[in-house]
Amino acid sequence: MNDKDLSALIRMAMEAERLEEPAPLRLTWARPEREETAARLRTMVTGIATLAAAACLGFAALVWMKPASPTQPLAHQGGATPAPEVSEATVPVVELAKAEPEVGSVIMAVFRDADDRCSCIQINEADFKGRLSEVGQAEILRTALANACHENPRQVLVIAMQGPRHELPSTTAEAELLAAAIHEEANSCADDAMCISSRAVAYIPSSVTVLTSTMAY
Amino acid sequence: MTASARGVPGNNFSGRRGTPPGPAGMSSIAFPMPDDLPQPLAASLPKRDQSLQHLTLRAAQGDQEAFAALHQRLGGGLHRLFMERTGGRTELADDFCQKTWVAVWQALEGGKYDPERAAISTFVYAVGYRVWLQHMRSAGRARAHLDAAAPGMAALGLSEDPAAGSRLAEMIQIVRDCLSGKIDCGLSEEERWILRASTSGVTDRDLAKRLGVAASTANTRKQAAYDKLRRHLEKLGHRAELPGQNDAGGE
Repeated sequence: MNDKDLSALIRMAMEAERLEEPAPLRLTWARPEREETAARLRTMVTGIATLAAAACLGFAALVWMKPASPTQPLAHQGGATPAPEVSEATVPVVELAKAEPEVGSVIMAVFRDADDRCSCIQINEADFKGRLSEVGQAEILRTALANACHENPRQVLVIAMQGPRHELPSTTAEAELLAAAIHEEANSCADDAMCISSRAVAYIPSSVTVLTSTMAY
Repeated sequence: MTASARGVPGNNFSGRRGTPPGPAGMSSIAFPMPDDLPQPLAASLPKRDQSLQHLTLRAAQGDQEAFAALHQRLGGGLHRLFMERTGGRTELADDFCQKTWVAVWQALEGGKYDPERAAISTFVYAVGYRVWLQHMRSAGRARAHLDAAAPGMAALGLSEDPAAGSRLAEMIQIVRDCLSGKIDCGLSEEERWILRASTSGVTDRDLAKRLGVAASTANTRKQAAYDKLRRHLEKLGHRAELPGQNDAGGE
């Protein structure tokens, strides 16, 4: 075996190692413009395995609750946009600070019924003031349970996430993927919130803060 | 038990089944892997990532949920790899991913994957590599790849022999285990580093700087490391198939 083949083998071994590195949940095939691809992929695996039907989403409803969009600034109305006045004076160049990414919060609640089946998953976009760690537990749970999609659950698993908006699930496809992944972990964690949380972070970008909680009835 | 997560101070945890209604506490802490795998079976599996092993074992028995979980665990990495190989062509990367996973499922279902020979991630990688090479061939670029890169590996990747994929996976796994020190190939830690660095594009001159030796010495050490790896592979019966040649160590 010559050195080129050995080098190729070594490179392949290193690449294979990287396969096991956790990828951010925002899988490229879950982005809005690729929902068609995601749907195509799910159709493909239906005959093999159904991602979204990880014992939960196959028959469960995913409820996406979004707050009303903030009012956009009025666009300039009437006539052409006035040309800016140009001063002949030297304008100092000001280097703008890099804008901080906009931060958002999302609360995912997985409702299980008395038969231990996942009956529905609800996602609420929250508008918390301050860091997630400073938000009271009660407020997080209140947000999670607002307009609950299940009236009498046996258990509710709540996953609160806060981070750059672009890192949070923003489409149904992304939310389903995250929910399916976390639900799969939840099944193997025997309802242990710490276990679920530690597994869940593998599917969520490192820039996102994660809190989990379970409520049992 | 207290816990801490990214940016979150620890809080007391409670919330097991049967707890009275009410908030069950915030949490996040590293937790041991599930231990529901039958112990004699678990003990007999090669010592690799247990959770992936568990999923693979279940998937090989037809467990579609386990396969879906495998897909979730490795799909992101596979897609990232194809994006790099295709220069960011999303549709192509998607197509390669689909073909790879279908082939992996078929191999699992058909009993063609042996966990003793390669980790599932290595197997998925090997299948993906063959998918990519087959695309290169259909696009008329396989010849260039064969000539310019690694003729033996490319030939193995393009081989119509159904066992070629498993063989490729096994070879990659051996090298993986050698590089990580999981098996003793006779490589020192320095030699393992040299192999990784050299493959990553570090020149002999840079190797020499980092090792604090002359460039010729660095090259000698590099060749010695290659030789050790080559001998170890050959000892296990692996020699790259070259186009038009029969491989004495083949299957």
